[in-house]
Amino acid sequence: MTHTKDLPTPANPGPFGHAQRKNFLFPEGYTQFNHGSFGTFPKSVQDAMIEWHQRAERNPDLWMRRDLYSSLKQLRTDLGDFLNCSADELALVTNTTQGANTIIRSLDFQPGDRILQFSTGYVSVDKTVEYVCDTLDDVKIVQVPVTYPISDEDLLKKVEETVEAHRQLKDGSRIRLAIVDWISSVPSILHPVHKLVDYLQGEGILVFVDGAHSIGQVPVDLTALHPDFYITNAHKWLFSVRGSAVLYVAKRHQAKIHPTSITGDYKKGFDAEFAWSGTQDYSSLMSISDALKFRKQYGEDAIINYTHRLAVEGGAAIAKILGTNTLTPDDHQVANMVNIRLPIHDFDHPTLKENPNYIMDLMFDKFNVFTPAFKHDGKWWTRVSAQIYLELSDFVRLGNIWKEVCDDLNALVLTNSRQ
Amino acid sequence: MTPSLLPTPTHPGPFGHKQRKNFFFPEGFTQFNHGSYGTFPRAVQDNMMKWHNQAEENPDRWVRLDLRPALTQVRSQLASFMNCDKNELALVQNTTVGVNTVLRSLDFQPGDCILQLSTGYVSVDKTVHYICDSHKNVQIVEVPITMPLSDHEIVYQVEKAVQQHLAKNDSSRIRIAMIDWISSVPAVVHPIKALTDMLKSYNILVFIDGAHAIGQVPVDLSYINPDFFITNCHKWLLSVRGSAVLYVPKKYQSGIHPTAIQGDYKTGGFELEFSWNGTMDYSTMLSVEGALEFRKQYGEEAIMHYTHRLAVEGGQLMADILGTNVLTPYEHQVGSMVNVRLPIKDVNHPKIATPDYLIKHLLDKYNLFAPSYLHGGYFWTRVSSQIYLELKDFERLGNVWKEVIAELNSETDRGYDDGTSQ
Repeated sequence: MTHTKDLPTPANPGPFGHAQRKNFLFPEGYTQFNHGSFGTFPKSVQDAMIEWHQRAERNPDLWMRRDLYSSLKQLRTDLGDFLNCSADELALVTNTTQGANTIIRSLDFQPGDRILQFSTGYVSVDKTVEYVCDTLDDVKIVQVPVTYPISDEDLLKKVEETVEAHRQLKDGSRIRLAIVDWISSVPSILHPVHKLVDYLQGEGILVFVDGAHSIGQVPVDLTALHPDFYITNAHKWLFSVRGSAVLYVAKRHQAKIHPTSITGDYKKGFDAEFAWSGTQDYSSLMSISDALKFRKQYGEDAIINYTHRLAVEGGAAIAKILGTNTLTPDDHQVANMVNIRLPIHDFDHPTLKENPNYIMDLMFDKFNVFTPAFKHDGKWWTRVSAQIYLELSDFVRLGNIWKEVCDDLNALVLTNSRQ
Repeated sequence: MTPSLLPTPTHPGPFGHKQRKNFFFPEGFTQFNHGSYGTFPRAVQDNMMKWHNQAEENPDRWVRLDLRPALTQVRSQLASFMNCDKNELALVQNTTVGVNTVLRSLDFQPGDCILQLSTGYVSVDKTVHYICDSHKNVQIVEVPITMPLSDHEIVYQVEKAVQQHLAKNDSSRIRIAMIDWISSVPAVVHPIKALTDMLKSYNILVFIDGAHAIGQVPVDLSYINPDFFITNCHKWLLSVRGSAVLYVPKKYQSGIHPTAIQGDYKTGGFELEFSWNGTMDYSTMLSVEGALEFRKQYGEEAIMHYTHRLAVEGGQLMADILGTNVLTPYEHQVGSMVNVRLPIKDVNHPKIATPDYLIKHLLDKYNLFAPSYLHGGYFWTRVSSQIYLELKDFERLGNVWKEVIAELNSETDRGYDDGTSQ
């Protein structure tokens, strides 16, 4: 393993930065600051995807009935190596939403079961839990209220307090499952996930780690983490084509977990049940192997170190331009995404209330960039994603764009305000 | 257009081998099994890549602004095609997803029964079993079907099963019936309107598994009026794999949710709940646009007439070569797929106990494939006709099967060491 000081950094990007743009599909004049939402992939991965696609077409029966299975199995083996777990604990699914539904809707919740989730969890996961509570008898949510900034220790304390408070109810209910983000969406915070898993499992609670944002952004070792369930999107930070995600189900739980769409292999075992999702185009999933190939040129250490340092330094640069601050003072809570406070003076700005798409439309139409703006703890923030195709100068440019947007918004309020 | 001007096997017009260059077939490979996984022309792949590249130019703009209108446009096109309202359609990945969407949404109560035919598709059958496993006292009413049967006999068998169930008088009720429009193996076009009307007259919900319907037979949902309907565009409509369409009439929509719940649950309504299935590549669904464009060059009538006549004549040609028969004497029960009996002397031959031997043999030795299966005590093969095939392809396939079966039969005649007798 190379020393950190030999790895690419914002000041010494090595193979990264704008030199990478030509490897991707960006049109001239477009910069991607929001990799975190939908990801993107290099041209070589797209070329490989097309080749998988053509291969299926040259002989669909040969592909679908024979070669597909062995190809997917090989992919799971490669992912098992990457994630330090057994290939037969992995299933390939379309995305985290599907993975979350697979787990949550398979578990046989009984009356009195409770599901623990954080207030900062992702909306689709929240809604899936809500659906389960709606459709089953006396299954309820226990929520951990989280406001950032909060240290790892304090976050863990909050979880402990919530679990303890529930225990004090002594109403016969039990927390059956906890859903924990590895890296939350908005705000984007790297959680102390190992400590959380240890604590919750120690309390007899099943833990489902929502690692949508983890693979390719942080090192993932599933043996060290030992969750009960884990889902991650390869199409976010690993550079595969959209519609490629990996679900981990510990062997001891596999018998009760079934796909969201039951197929002909129902009750033939986890491996068979998840090997085939019905007729679809499997090239997105197959592109994971090409994404791994692309990344191997540089090494995970190099990629992760560069993007992390760029997020930290870039976030600080934007905060300086805006005269604000980043959400978390702790480097270790930032992976590749950084949250910066927007100096919007009126939290309930009328323009934003009337037209929730105002900022988005402005950014697309006037500046041809986009980073999501969100509310947290009574303030406005934006989340910026660092990537190997970005440099510090990009963050400076983005900071100045946001300054203009905020200054204009603040001026709007002044001119519109009635005395 | 009068029937005599439509393309036929003897007068293929724009169809037959000249279509091969529009597709991806390598030299020496002939696709006889379009029914299983479909395939698509280059023009449709180009259309798919257009959407795929548009997304990459600006993923945020694509997902947040342009994706839903594009999907709505496809639903509009399909609604015109199938004579229904676009707001009653949802795009899903495939029939398996569509079936799971409806069955796992319905609030089955103890005493509910699900009716299905023994010829139904395996994934549908397993989903029904899953429902029974995960609910209290939900049972299956299975109608045993052995083809060939006339349309009248099919309706009669199903109605008989319904009445027999009613006669039990045990406070259970058949809640929903799963009915194939065109079954998989054997491939038979069912009397779908008569079946739907009959079942609805008993207050049974009708879910039509039309996996094979769109592009193979005319689909008019206003006329058929099912309670639920699913069809794969990537089979006979020539779009890219991973594009199917689910029909849910407005009156049921509030109770139907996707297999993967997302952020619009309870806040968005049916359209929004089904317009976004999480982050994925939507270009396969959008390729339906390219498929419809491609087909418009020729017209649905021309395509369906050619593929149907070719299935009928090609099937008969194969039966003549093999010295056997086609499964159904009723031509209207053949869409674009035909079932031809294989003259296998011993249906218990160990080599055909599983599909593997024949799959390998056909693919490796002859570079082609047509599924074979047991039905009614005989082995059959199902052959899919298509616009890129001609009568001489069926002749060749007939001779290939003749050779393959002769080899199997000679083993039977010689006596074989099975070691795995059934």
